[in-house]
Amino acid sequence: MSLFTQAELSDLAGGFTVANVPISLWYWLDGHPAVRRVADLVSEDRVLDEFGALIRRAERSETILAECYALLTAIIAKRRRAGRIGPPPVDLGTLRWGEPIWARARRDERSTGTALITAPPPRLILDEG
Amino acid sequence: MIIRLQTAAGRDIPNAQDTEISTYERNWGAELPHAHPDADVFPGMSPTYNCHGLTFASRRTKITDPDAIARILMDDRYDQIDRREARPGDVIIYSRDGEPTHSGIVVENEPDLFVPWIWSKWGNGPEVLHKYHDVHPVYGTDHRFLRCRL
Repeated sequence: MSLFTQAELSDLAGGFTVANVPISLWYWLDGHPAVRRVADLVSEDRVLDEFGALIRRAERSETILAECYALLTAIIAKRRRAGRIGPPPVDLGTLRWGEPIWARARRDERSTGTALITAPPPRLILDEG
Repeated sequence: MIIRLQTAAGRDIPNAQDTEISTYERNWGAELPHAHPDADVFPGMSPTYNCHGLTFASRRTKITDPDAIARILMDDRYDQIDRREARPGDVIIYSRDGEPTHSGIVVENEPDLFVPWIWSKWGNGPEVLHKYHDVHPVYGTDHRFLRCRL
């Protein structure tokens, strides 16, 4: 059973169809409430199981492809929250825009990483004169 | 097939074309006029080119790499202009976090109201004449108008 409702799948398929480039699809999915819900509530193993089951299907309709991209985006969101996106856990070659989306997410990870810089404590000089 | 596509500075622009439109896409295209009643949706759909292919490559191919769009804008000397200055032939780039998600060509700017009308292509679907803000949310809400200075 899908992790998304029929209404959500229909909306995801519409966005997938209208997207002209991988980046527009990814940004949109990343902010989609259904994808956020899955990223929040479903374990990565469960998302991966669902992704694997979909990608093995012979039928590649817009709805199925949109669902695959939505699950991929949910995985990225979960990994990002955990602190590291790392290598993809699935064969991205099965999705035409899988590679550029994962690469873009990793690039974001590097460019938005924070470095903790601590200043030395001020020296306290007592004038005992 | 990759066609030879270069910027004014001679840098190559990666591109490709598709060959098929699915039944779903045809049905979705047929529904577009209802979803965007203020827009003019033109008949005919093409998998050969996308929005950037319409804006920058004369409908010959698809350009999907955001870095390639940045190269085009830089090498072909596109400068940002105010929306009120936009006139036919200028382009609009929609973006998220600075990454281009969609593009189109200005065909008219309503006098006094300064609401440019844009000619753009939506996915494999049809070309659409629409107000600059009347687009699917997948393209995001950030946009800027640009003029080629070549």
